[in-house]
Amino acid sequence: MKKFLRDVSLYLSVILLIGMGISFAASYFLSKSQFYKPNFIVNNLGKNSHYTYILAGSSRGLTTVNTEEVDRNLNVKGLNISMDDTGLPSQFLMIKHYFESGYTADYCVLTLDLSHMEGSKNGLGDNDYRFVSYSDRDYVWEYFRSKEEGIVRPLTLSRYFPLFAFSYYNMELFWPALYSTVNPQFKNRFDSNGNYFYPDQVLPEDQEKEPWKTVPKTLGNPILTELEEYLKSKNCKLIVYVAPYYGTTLSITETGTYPVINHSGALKEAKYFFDINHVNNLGRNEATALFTQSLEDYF
Amino acid sequence: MLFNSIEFFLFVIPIFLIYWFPLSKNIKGQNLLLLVGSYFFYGWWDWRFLFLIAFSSILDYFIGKNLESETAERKRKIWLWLSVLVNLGLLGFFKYFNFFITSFSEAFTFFGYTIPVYRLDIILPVGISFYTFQTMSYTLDIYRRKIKASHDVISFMAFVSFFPQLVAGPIERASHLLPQFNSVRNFNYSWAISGAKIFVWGMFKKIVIADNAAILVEGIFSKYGEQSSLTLIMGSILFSFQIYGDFSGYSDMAVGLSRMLGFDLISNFKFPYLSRNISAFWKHWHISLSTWFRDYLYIPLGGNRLGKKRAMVNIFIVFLVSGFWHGANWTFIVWGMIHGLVYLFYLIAGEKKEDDTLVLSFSTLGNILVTFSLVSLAFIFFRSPSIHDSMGYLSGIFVGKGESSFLLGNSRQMIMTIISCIGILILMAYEIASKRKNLIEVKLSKYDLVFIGLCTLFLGAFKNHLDFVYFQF
Repeated sequence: MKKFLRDVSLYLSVILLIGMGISFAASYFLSKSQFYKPNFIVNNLGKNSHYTYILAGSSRGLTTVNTEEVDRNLNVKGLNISMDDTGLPSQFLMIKHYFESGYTADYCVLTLDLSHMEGSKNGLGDNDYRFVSYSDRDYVWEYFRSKEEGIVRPLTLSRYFPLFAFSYYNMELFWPALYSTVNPQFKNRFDSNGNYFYPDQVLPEDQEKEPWKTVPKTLGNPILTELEEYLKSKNCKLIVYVAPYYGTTLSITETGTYPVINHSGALKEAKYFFDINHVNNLGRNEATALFTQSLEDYF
Repeated sequence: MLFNSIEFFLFVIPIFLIYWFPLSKNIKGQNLLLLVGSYFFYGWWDWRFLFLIAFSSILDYFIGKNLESETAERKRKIWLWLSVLVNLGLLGFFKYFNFFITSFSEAFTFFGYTIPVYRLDIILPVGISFYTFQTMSYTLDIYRRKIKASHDVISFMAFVSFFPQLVAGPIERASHLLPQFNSVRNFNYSWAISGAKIFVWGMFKKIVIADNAAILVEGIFSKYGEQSSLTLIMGSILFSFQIYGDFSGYSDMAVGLSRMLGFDLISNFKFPYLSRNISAFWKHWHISLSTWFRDYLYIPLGGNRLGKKRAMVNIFIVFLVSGFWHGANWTFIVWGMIHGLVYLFYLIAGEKKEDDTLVLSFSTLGNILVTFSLVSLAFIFFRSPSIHDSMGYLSGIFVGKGESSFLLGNSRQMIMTIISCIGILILMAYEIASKRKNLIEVKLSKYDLVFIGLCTLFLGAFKNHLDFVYFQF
């Protein structure tokens, strides 16, 4: 019996040790890549880079505004740090990641989603694992520690044992790390300015027929206040931007001191939309033009 | 509580240590521990299920004793029928009530009458089909005087609820498993190591093949109308490997756990996808159920003793019932019918006696591919929610106009497809090698064990933590 336990422990240790070695290597290659946005921010920008504005948000932030176009028209320098499938807590983490990596910005434009205006659920976001290469940084580890739930917490443990994260999220981390060994410049669904756009697919007909509605909203999410305070400490001003929705105009009651650019009902025609939450390439051009006009007032 | 969950490891490690250290010389204590552990394991799903399994076990325990002591044949028959009716009654109520009531109503609608349907909001107790068949085999075997009744209620209840095989088999016979509860179990190093290895192999099949393929299969089957013919063919192949990885993976883990506790369970699968015809397939697929139906349905119906025609009718009945056993849906019945028809066609064409050793040749490979294709096509009925969907899926394969491919839909699905294919290749490579050596299960060397462990770590779909498919049966 003791021999059995000893042998099982031995084989388990060998598998875990080799697994740890593979995970450390994968973590190294991922940390040197530009595969995900957090790696792109660290590895693509020059030391102590300064931007006039950074654009944070979810997929709506990622795909609505073409920062290249804004920069050309306003003669400024912008960077899109938005990441798809994220909520406000993850977006705050991304903003922190930008500043804590040694970069500065005059303005932080936050593309705020309807579902995060009044509050955000506590818990890990779907794409938070993309910060795993930086779990040795306190703000990232603290974030994982406070948000992750369950008996085994792979992301929290990844600070010391990357095996847990690279095994649990193998499809999301291990395979990209493998790909990064041969193509470290590859960016996963964003360009060198951090932008991405949806193709010219038009909204499905059944969604097109839905009547337009006006929804009252208050910007009461406490994370917004926290974010504003954080940005102040980094000499950066917060601007909240609400990108166009199809079928919904938001009537927003502002509670903070930050300005709000509300373009929620700015594009009325279905031809501008990929789905009810995202513009297509045509809509992106229109939304960018509107955004540029609004942003000019603040610069 | 799934075998591949953290909760299960937290549950089973203390059981294992108590079982082999303080209780190693105490058979009654070990049985009590297994009973308490098994009830805890089963109650983890829903504590209400415990009443059902306790009732079923106690009833069969007392009926078994009466069947043994009773000498009057008429009374013995009454006891047997009581056991069969109660067990099948419970199974019928929980599993088939809504199916019958809906089918009854639909039949009336077909003839122009409308009758209201009162469906019951019943939860199907996990594994009810498995333990019901196990306890039924107990009373049937005592009735036939093949085994003695148990006189130890704890060991009998532990036999019925034995947690490694409680919820998805293998369906054990009392003649094989029950005596093991009554004899001293000494720790055997080689036996336990073989158990640990087969457990790891089962986990690989479940986590790497079944759980990855499940996502792709769901995507293809839920939107079959949009998919290209090739994608639909791939979907049916992937489902064949999903169900195999899932069910045989569970069986391997059950066998492995049992060996580590000093028990021997029967092998439920013996490389079924390397079968050269449908008859061989059924000798290697879900063996515990096939042999159950052979012994308790096919042979009592007359088997092949009443001529070839009657034997063929009996075979067809067994396949129909086997299909229905899997679930209360016409799709399962049609699945059983297809296998029955193919089997009969094979019998008519002339059954061949075959060596179980695999000799690789073009003709063998051709036969294996034909058998696998038939099995995969039949599985379309097994997987689809309705006959209508099954037919739609099949017509999509042969005359489909869909153009999209879920497997190449985005980079994530492509990676998942690659992982599933790698998993399947590893599985088949090990199975072919084992079958060529005439082994009945994959035997992992120490290097294989490390390799399979690492594959599981880096290819496993840990985020897609799914129940075992056969839990629903």
